This record gives sequence, structure tokens and C-alpha cells, in this order.
Amino acid sequence: MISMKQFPITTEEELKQAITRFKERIDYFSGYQKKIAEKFLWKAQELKNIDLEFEARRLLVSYYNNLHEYDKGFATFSWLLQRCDEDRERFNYKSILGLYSLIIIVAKQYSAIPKTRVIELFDDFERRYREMGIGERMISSYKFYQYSEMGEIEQAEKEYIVWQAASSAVFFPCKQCEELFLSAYLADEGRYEELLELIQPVLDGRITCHYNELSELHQGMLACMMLGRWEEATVLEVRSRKFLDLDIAFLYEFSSHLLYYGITGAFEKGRILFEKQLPHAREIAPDLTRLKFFISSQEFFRRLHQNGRTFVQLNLPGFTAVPAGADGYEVAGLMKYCQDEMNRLAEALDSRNENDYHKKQTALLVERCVAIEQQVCE
Amino acid sequence: MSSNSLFQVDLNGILKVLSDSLYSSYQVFIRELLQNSVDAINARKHLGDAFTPAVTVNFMQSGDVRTIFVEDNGVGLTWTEVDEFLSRIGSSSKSGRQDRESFIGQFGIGLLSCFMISDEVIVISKSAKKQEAVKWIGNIDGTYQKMQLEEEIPVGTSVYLRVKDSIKLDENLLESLLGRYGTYLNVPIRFFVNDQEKNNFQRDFPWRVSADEVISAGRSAFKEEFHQYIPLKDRSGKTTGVAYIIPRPTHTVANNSHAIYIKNMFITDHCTTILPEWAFFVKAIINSENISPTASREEIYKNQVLEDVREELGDCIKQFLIQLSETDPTFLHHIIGIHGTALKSLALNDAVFFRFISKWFSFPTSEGILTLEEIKQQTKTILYVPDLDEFKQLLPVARGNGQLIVNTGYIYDTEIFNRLNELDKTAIYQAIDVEFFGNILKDLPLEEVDRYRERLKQLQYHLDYFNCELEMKEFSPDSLPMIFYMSQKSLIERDVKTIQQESDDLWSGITDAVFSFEQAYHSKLFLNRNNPTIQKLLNQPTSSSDELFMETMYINSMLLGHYPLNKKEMDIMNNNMEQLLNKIL
Repeated sequence: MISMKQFPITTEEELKQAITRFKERIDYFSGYQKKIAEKFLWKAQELKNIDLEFEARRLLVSYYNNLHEYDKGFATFSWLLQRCDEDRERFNYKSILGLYSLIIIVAKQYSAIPKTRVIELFDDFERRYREMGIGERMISSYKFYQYSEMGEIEQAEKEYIVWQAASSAVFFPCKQCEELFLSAYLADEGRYEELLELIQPVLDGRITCHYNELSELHQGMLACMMLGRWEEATVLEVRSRKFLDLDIAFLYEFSSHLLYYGITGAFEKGRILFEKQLPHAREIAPDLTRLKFFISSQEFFRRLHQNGRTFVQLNLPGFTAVPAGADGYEVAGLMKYCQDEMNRLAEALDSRNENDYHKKQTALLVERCVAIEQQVCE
Repeated sequence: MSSNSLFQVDLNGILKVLSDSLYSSYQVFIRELLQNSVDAINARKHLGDAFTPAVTVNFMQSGDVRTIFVEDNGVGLTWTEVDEFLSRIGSSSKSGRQDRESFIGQFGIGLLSCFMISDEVIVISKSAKKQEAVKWIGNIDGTYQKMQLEEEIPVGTSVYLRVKDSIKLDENLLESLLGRYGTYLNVPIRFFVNDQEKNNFQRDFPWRVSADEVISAGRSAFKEEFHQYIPLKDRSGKTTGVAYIIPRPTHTVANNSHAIYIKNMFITDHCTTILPEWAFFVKAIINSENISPTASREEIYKNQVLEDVREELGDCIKQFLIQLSETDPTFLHHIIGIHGTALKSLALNDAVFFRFISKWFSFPTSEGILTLEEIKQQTKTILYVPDLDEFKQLLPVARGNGQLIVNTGYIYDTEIFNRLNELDKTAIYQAIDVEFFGNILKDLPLEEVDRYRERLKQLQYHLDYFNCELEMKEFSPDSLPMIFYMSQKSLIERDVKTIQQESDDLWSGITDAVFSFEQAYHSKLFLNRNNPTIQKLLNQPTSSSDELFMETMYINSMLLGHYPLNKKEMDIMNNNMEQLLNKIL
């Protein structure tokens, strides 16, 4: 536990030491610690020390990213990039470029960012990566992400061919998890057998690096569930949960869990999950992850409704989109709210992307859920 | 073709391993010898022999020649057992026995430690099972001789060691080692120097004797004066001891060392794993029959038994504190005063303990340090401030207006109050910031608000540039012209806005698309109508100095609150300073 009391800071030297000690003792990311990191930033600004401000912002941007508060992360990142552009020798440009890949992955998931800006951003990213000598293979994997999430599947498939033909990625030291960038795409496309084959090394514990368990275990659970491999899905559900914190916006990851809870009738677990994650889905999270969450949420409430529940008690301060009575929230009302949000977000993303990919994918996922539910009921 | 072969052992090599790796010091040879003696005596007791157990240690010095004799009247060794147990490394007379639990040693390597101080180990033994006496001489080069003795000797074993010249060992050190390792063994140990009895060691553990003994043992073990201790006992009763409450504050990351005995034999005084981490406010002396030593017998083995014992000893500490609240609440208060941080950490991890202990916790408040119980006696709506800087800012206003506020800016305190909010329905717990507090300060009467409405609008105009909202309140002390508030959220928004303004089109556009600027105002200035300067400001007509006054007041508030100034604010501050200096001139 790190506390402000441990960091009495008045001088530059004290601030420098505090940031160093803080970095050494980070064991998990919490809102409380983020607040301390923010205080480092104010102190660096008060002391007017640009190098310490750079360090404080580097620390802070990792909090914003890990707590999925990307809205603040973008601005902080742009400040860091700007300082590097002003003086590449003084500031650690390479470490900032490493953060850039996460920025471009997330940026396109916000429908409010126009397509032209997304393309412009990617071009800037690509230019900087090429300048640093980062090879084709690395860049094409990010292009694949870019195209597939924006619904340009033909382009994405072409990039995959480029990726296969290109030599090994520089600046991406981990050979063993290099190909896992395909997993989200395979899940979206419903290619569950291929997905399981791809992520098998993560599922059987051979690959444990680069947060892969966090990213892939829930995908494995989803795939197993959709293929009716329930025993494996149950085990993966438990394993995946160990990597997820209900207080942090893990909307994409939790969307798989919520589907599972709805289909298997684990309604209490689903209720708690919805209660904790909805505030994030209503505020800061990228639209694509919110879309996934609302698809699963409407499925969850549909199943709850099918099970004869008319009302559900939820603690949702400030949530007025669905009226709450003495018995709680009407399940049908919640289902409709989630469906509306789902349709709105799919529409917003598609209209930005100038296609109908997310609407189609949403409809297909709903169909697949209904099919698997029928299997369970039989 | 295959064959089974045994590893060949180079005794010199083993000795190096022992001296360099297994044992931390040559001094442990006496522990190993005492252990063998005690185990031999216990083995003889198991045979049903009637005898009075005794161990004697004789230190002989003649010129530079030092010899140590260790004798016991235990079970002894037969001719064949000597081969088996003295000449085979790793073979123990205790392993494989059904009654092995009553023995301290298990590994069969103890005697080898004698080679760390002597090039030759002589053992003379007569078994209680067979009337035969045997002499065994082991050499540092790995050879040994064995012979039958014709003369009549008593049942038991004697070990003779001639101390190497390079080893620093005198009678005083040996006596001190005997005290360390032999005091609590259940066998009397007599110490002789040149055949003259100098000391004897046999005591019971202090917690089995008297409170004075316990305090004295604590002083001797930890070189510290303790005033209170907690009896410890695990559920099986096989682990017992005392935990001394450290009479001074300890750090939350302090890793206290405890003294551990296993089956009455001293193991280590550096054990950090026998008590839970949260128990960093005690130091313990513990004897255990159920936890196991490692092969070096200098540490304890980490397994499920140890985990269970640790938890059960932790429960003893909790129960003691609960009992103390009934029998000696003043002393409990005293302990919490010293070790509040440790106990708060413990309470947050144990709901039952939390319910009991929370009312005894003390917190800094606007009325001084108060316990939760005392706070609740004063108010049923408890306002707590999670931010230390904001508490400091609110302190004079809270005092002046008779409003109790609690500082929860220190470690664990906000979590404690958040938990109380969930569990304690006898009071309302409300986290506040400066803005919240400002809003509950006394409003001006309606007619006064009307009177100053236009004037306030004029003054607000000069703060709009800083996104700062102005509000008039009445509060004490009169000498305080204002309180200022800028939330963490506002600071972030301000920061993002500044970055956005300085960014190129691409990044500015992205921030604009994603970040939602929610706050109409970034900060708030509560003016105090009771302050003479503010009254003067309100009552004077609009003038060119309004701008200077309001800007200076705003920037001064920012500086006092340690808020970072942006470039525009810095420019304004410098410009205003120049204006003021010019006016003086």
C-alpha cells in the first residue's frame, strides 16, 4: 500500500526520489495510486521542472492506460510526444513510441474521432515507426488491427498476407505471442475453432507474457462456450476472472463473462458485474468496447427475463435512463436500454467507418448466442 | 548393461559445503552436540530405564591446547550403530523411528559440524541396549577408526574435540553458546572449566514460570524494555510463547525478527514468518513442537503447518486486544496510540476485528486527536476530508465555525471511514472536500445577496478568465478573507485543456473528440463577508483596481494551495506584481 504520507515532497530531489520509489513499488493499478501520480505531476509543474514533469506524465499515462481512462491518456501522451519532438536527446523517445501503439489501437475505437483523423494518426504512427527502423511485419500487424476493427475486412486480409511474408518484427521482442493479434478478429468473425488453435499456448500455460492471459483467456472461454465445450469454458471462466478487476473498465473482457453468465444462468454474478461495469460503459470507455458490453448486457437481461424475472435490484447511482421502483429496475426496461445503446454504438461506429460492419457483426453475435442458448435449453 | 553405484563423497568437500553454505557459523557445533545428547537421553527414557538425565560440558585449556568434552548419559551406541550412524553421512538414528517426533535432530549430519572446529572427533559410547563400549575416531581426511573398549564405562556417549588453532573459542564464548542453545532443553546441562563447575543451565520457558520472568526474558532476548506481553498458543497447544508489545511506534513495513525454539532447542532469533505480517508491533519468543526446522536448523520450514500456526497465533493477538478493551481500556488506548497504523491495516483485512476495534481508533480532527467514539459523542454526521492539503485549508474555518472535521488523508484512514459508512448505521459518514464544506457554510441573508448582486457580478467578471466561480459566505474567523477550492478533476481538465491548446491540429482534434469537459468552473472562491477587506471591496464602487485585486487574490490562493500555475497565470502574476510595486513607488 502506497500512501501520500510516505512522500513528503517539497524539493526537486524529493520529487525525483518519490517518483522512483513509487515506480519500484507499483504492484497493481488503482485509482488511489493514480491520484498520487497526479499529485506528482502538479508538484513537478509547481517546481517548473520539465524533466520531472516528463517522468510524472510517463508514470501517469501508464495509469490512464491500465485503468482504461484513455480520454486523459491521449492528451498526456500527446504532451510527451511533443516534448520528444522538441528534444529527442533529452527525453526517452523510444519509450514514448512504445506507448504509441496502444494509442492507435484505442483511438479508432472511439466513433467521435473522424475517419480522416484516424487515418492521419496512423500515418503519423507509421512514419515514426519506419523512421526508427521498425520493420514491415510490425507495422502490418497494426494495419491489420486498424482495418479489421474498422470493418475493412478485405484490406485486413491483404495486410495479413503482408505480415506473413515480412521478416520478423523489430521492436517487438516477443516472438511467441507475435501472432496473437489475430484473436479478436477471429472471435468477431465467429471463427472459434481457429481462435482456440491460435491461443492454445496461452490456454495451456505455455505463454504467460505480455498480459496475454488477460487478453486471451476470456476469448478462449467465449470460443469454448460457442462450440458447446462447457467444461473447458467453466475452467477458463474462473481462470480469466483472476486477471480482471471489477473496479476497472474491462468492458471487452467482461462482455465475454456476461454472455457466459446469462447463458449458464449465473445471474447473481452477472448482476454484480453489470452493476460495477455499467458506470464505465456510460462514461470513458471506447465505443467499440462499450458496444461489446451492451451486446452481452442485452443478452444477459433477455435470459434473465426468460427465466421469469421481472425486476432486478441494482445499485446504480445517477443512472436514470431506466426508472427504478421499490422492486428495483424492470428487466425488460434494462434490456431495451442495452439494445438501444448497442444499436446506437454500432450505428455510430459504422457511420464513422462508412460501412455496416458492426451492425452485421452485432446481429451475427446475437444469432450465435440464441443458437447456443437453445442448445443449453435442450 | 547397467549397474547401480553410490555417489562418492569427499569429506573435505562436504565440510566446505557445511561451513560455507549449510551453517552460518562454526559456533553451531555445540547446538548439534547438545541436540544429539538430548535425543539420546529421550531415547533412553523410551527404553524405560531409570536414570537421572545429565549432560556435562567441560572446557579444558592448557597453554594453547583447548579441548572440549561433551558427555551425556543417553542411550549410547552399539558397535553396529557406530558404523551406521557415525560413519555414514546423512544417516540418523532418529529417522524411521516411530517415536522420532520426540527428537530434535532428523538429518544425520549434525556430528559433521564438529569438523568445523576440530580435525579429529573422538566418540566413546556405551549402549544401554548392549553391554559393549566402543571408541570411534573420525578424521578430517575422511577416514575413521573404530575399536572396542575393555574398561568399564557408564552408559552414554562422550565426544572429545581438540579445537583448531584458527578457531576463536574460549570458555566465555562457549558458556554463552551453552546459554543460547541449552537453557530451555529439558535436561540439566552443567558447564565445567578445567574440571571446575562454572555454571549450569536448565530453565523452563519464562511463560511457564512468572510474569517477571517473561519481562526479563524479553529484555535479554531483544535488548528492549517491554511492559506488556501477549500469551501465544496455537490450537493444538504444541506451539506456545509470548509476543511483546513494542513500546514505540513501528513502521508498517517493519519486518520484526522473532526468536524461535523447536522442541526447546534454539533455532533462530531472526524468524520473520511465524507471525502474520500485520503483527509488526510485537516481537515474540516461541517454542514449537509442530513446526519443522530446515536441514541447517537455523530457519523454519515453510509449509501448511507453519501457515496454520501463524494464523492461530495471530488470533491470540486479536483476542488479547478484544479482552483488553474490557479489562484495561486505558492500556488498549495506549497501545492504539502507538500502533494505530498496524491495527488499522489489520482491521481492514478482518471484518470481525474491525467491528470491535474501530471505535478505539484515533484520528486527527479539527478538535485535536479524537477516538471514533469521542467523535461520535460530538456529532452524528461525521465529515471527513480524504485530502491532507484540503484538510489543512479547512482547519481554521472549521474551528472558527464550530464544525468538527476529520482528517483522513493518512494511510488507511479514508478506507476505515468508507468501511464505517457501510457498516455503522448509528452515524452518517460523509467524505467532503473544500467545495462541499464551502457549500454548507452560512449563506448571506437574502437582502444582502440582493444588495451585493451587481457588485459580485462585476468581480466575477475578472475571475471568468480563470474559470473560477465566486460565491459569498459568512464564516469565522473574520481574519480569513476566503477559502479556495480546486478539485483533482478540475486540475485534470485544466491540464488537458492546456495541452489541447498547445497541441497541433491532429492531437487537439483527437482530444476534442474524446475528452468531455464537464466542469463549468475549474475552481471556486468563497469570499468571507465578515472579513474587513472583503467588506471594503464589496462596498466600494467599480474601479480599475478591481481586476488587480481579484487576480491577485486568485493567484495567491493558487500558490497557497500549492496548485500549479499555467503560463498565462504566471504572466498575470508577474504583471500584477509590477503594477503593485509601481503603485508603492
